[in-house]
Amino acid sequence: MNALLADLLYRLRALVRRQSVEDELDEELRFHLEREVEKHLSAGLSWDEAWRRARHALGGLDQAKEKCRDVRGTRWIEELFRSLGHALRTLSRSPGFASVSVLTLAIGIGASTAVFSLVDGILLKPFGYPEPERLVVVSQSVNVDGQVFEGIPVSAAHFREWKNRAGSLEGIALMRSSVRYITGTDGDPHRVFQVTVTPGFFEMLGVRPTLGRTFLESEAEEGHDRVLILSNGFWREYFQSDPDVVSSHRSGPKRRRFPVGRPPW
Amino acid sequence: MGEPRLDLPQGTLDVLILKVLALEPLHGWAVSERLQQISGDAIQVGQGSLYPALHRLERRGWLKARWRTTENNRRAKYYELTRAGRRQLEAETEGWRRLAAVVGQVLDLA
Repeated sequence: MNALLADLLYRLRALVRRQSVEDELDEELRFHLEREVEKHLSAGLSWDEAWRRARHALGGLDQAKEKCRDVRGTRWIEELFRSLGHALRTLSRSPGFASVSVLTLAIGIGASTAVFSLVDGILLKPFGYPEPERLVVVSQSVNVDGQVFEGIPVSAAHFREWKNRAGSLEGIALMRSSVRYITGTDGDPHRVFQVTVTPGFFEMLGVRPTLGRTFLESEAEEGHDRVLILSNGFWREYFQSDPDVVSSHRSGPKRRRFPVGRPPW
Repeated sequence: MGEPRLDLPQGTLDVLILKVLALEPLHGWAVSERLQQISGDAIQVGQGSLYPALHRLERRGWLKARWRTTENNRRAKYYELTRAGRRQLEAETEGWRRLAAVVGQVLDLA
């Protein structure tokens, strides 16, 4: 057998079956002692003298055992467990100190985890689109007599001008997020998040729907049927992932809406 | 016990144990008796070193231990040589012979 494997198995047994290994050691040394006594007795020594000599030859039963434990190669791990046990007992004797220590650790670990999650999400993980470094957000601010108003809604006319004249941008699309309420099949109102975008939005991001198509230019014109693209979660929850939902006709209380596709998220 | 006892150099006990066990499987007490006999009482191994040595050799895979019943119907732990132990014995015997020859050669220069 491989020497390394033999060594590992030996140590594993010494650890896992510690008690039986200890018992065996005890029995082995005791057997030795008895044989030694028998030998002296048969040589004609008195019982007391025989025992005295046998014990002397063994050089201390406990010392012999200690030396045998040393060669098992499991001492460090046993001492580790002993130290852990000692630490736990010490902590349980002073619960106040223990709770402060645990709390300190908890806050420390929690804070680092939180900061890491933030840094990971914002700085380390790339934005989920191709060439995310080329994406920019443009917003409009208005300066009225030195007072600046940020995030002013963009009018259709402005958008058209930007689209035609912003030469440093390859594509440009408008988006506005809002919250809508719909009536579910259970009759209860459901809150859904909606983003209204201009045609070309998905092309600008460089993503394609997994089903159906993206919005057409003509669909942005006044009077055209409202069309929408369902998120994966919405599609799964409200349409049971039915692929035939694309292009099917649904009526709402106010306007008609046609699902035309589903983005990849 | 006429002859003076010898102190065994470090590591010699291991090879002696391997040699004794190469003849037949024995329990610890018999190993120490056999060593004493063969050496004409010159070697008497303290049990404080015999059992650690046996266990060390077992851990290295050179010995295999097995509990068996003795001729007096008692349970005892018998050690026997493994194949690796036999190879080790050969290697150590060879090493010891060369060392002894070289040391002897140097000491005989007078």
